[in-house]
Amino acid sequence: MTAWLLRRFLQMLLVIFGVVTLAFVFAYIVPANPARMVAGPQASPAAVASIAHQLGLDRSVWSQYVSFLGRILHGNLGVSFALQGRTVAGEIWLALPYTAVLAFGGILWEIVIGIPAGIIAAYRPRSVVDRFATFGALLGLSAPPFWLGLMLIYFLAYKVSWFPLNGVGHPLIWYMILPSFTLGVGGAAFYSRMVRTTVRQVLRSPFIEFARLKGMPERTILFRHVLRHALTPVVTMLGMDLGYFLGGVLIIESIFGIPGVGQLAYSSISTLDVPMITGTVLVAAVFMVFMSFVVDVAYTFIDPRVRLNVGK
Amino acid sequence: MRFVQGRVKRFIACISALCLVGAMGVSLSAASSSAASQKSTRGGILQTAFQSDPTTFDPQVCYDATCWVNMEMMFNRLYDYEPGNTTLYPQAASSMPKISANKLVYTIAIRQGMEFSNGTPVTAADFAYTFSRICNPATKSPVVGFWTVVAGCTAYEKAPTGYVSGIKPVSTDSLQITLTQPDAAFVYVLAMPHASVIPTGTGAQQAQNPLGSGPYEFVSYTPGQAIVLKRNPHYWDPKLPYTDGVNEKLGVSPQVQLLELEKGQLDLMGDALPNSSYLSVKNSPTMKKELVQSQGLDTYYLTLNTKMKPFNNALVREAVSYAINRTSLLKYVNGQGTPATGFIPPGVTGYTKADLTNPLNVKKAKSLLKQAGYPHGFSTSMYSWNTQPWTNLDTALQQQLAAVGIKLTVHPIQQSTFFTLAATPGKAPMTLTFWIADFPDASDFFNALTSCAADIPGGQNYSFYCNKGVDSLVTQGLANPSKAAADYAAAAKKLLADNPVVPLYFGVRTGLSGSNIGNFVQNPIWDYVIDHYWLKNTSK
Repeated sequence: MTAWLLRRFLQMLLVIFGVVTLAFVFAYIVPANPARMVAGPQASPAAVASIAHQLGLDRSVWSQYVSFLGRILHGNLGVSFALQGRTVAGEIWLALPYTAVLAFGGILWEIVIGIPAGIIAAYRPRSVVDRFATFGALLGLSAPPFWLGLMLIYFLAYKVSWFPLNGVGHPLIWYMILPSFTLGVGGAAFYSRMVRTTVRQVLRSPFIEFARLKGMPERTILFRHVLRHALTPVVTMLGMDLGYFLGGVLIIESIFGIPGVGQLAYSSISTLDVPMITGTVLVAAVFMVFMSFVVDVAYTFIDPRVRLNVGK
Repeated sequence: MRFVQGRVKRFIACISALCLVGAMGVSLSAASSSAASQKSTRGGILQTAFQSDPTTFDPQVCYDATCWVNMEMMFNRLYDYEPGNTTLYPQAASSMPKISANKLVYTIAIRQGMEFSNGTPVTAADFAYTFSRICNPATKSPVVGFWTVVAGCTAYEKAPTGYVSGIKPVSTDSLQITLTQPDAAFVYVLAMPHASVIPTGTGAQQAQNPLGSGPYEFVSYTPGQAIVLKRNPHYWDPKLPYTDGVNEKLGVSPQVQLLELEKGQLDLMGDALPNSSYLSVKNSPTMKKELVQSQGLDTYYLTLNTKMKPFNNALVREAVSYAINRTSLLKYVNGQGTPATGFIPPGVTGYTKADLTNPLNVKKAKSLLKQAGYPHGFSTSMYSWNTQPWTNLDTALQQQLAAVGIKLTVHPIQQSTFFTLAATPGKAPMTLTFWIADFPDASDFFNALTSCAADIPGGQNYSFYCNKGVDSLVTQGLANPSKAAADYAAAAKKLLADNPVVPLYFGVRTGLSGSNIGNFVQNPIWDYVIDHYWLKNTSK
């Protein structure tokens, strides 16, 4: 088990290294000059060259890459090109709490809506509830988040003023209800269909029939036997969702004016702020890889068959 | 061209460029003129919002929309523009500069009794420090190009110690600036946000903790959330500002700003009205009266690369100039423009009422192409930004040029890539681009966009055009302010006779203020002059 963990950890590092290297390379192969973006179009070519020198952009890409790696290994993500005097780590640190609250909120909506809807639909197939859940899932899956977000803002924040229109404030939860709902509703729709299918499969299993024959109450069957089987794949997928959301959810953050990691990444791309681009990509990669690691480890505990395979 | 980053976003969101009104052809709406007759109030906190954070508060570096508006509020310059036009008045100076007979030495008297918001006096040495910072490469100022005309600025880049040799504090309240050549536009450079005075030695702190001598002082900045300003009790003009403070929400899209304005949660939209919302606001019985439109100091135009085939042939360039239907193009920008009649827009010295552009004439265009050796037309490429309104205009231009036999392949690309490709020799035969004046003098357009000096890789002269005759008229105008308008007009005429650029339209600035704002005017350069606005109801 320890050797497996170690190997998995090294693989994680390798993936992160690869992703960050790719981000660095892509930022440099774009036929555009970051110094021109810093200087502005009015700046003379001499001023642009001077800024390029100040930023170290006149050095070879290889030499810049080596110092970039050196910085990363020392835990220093560098200083933003575009945001004067602000460090990449500092900016990410400021943005991360908002993205984290949004991400966990989104996951919560996925669980709160998706799982009960799936279970109810599975227990009452082809009933009104099932059809309603199917219709809702279709709607949730097909509604683009930018449209849904704007609709929620228009009706619930603008028309009836139940929620704030935009941004973040105190209490934060109040500002996060609509964005996290918009984020989670697509996943909720997906999970409701998935849970419905798996619960129906489990309900047809002989051991459930046996439990019923034993006279076990339906509630006990559901919580002790059905959910334990049906939710295993959901738990792992929710873990991956969380890793993805923590990397920044640009569209939701933009619509609702949330100063999260997604917004930071977007603005750094449009200004060719190379240190910020690589910094935000690094954060997204770390979350994604870390959550996939957590999911793998969790799986070995949830499903003994996976654990048995580890040693082989 | 003050945009980049935030300003770019703002531009995309609105299409109408910023600025304008102007000393001439000012068309301030009824909203502002009636505002002037309202009774002024004092107090209250003005609420506004922006989509983007400022990239910095350092005045010598600032070039984005959010910081630009804040420069007007937190800092003073030697000269500034009157609220609703482009006439300069002495702000931190006590009078307009005394210029020597050879037009090289500017002696400027500093207003006495002025203080920074921390109570320290503003002296000539602070100005010398501030201006020298612009020439210091460590500052990374984007406007150093405007200051290289100051004696010693270029040398200072190599040895940045003390002050630039051409900038001397003669006494605590007298400053002397020596130029290397006469430059009638230099007084406008002194009014740019970058020339905002800061206390000696505070350069390093300004990016995040600005300290100036403007009507408001900085309280706090929470990235992605808010900027808070309050009245500067040390401000030299007791009349200003009218409000006790300003709260600026950040990260609010223009669409949501519009909703908040309608609900009365905002007094002023920080960003311009989105193009897509223009018609709905114009038709709204409640909102339309708050809509203010004024002519912009900006020109939208095509560049034809004079060093690339087939545009190295003057007849081909002339043919393109006859193929454009300007009135039809304006449909694609929701009417937020007026057909261009030249390269220099109204409100800028050098603009003439005479129409210098060629009218739509498909027959003539075809015959010119035939004469040039392209009887069946030709295929070429055009580059533009990949956002609105460019993508709409791309298609429209494609159709218009197809009518004369020019098959246009359009390449809408990201701005940073556009800057590099368009400025690389032999890469972009045509571009669709624009220019917003930094100050109301045509030299700003000519020097950056069409001069021989800018005909270099990495420059802004995307036509790679060089005509010493045009350059010398501009130099002549800069040396002799009284004749500048005529010289610039002659330069514009000479330029358009060669057609390296084909002007399309002049932008119109569309502003929207909330019903609680009094004395709402838009300044051609600053856009908003928030210190001049009051709140009709200060307790809201």
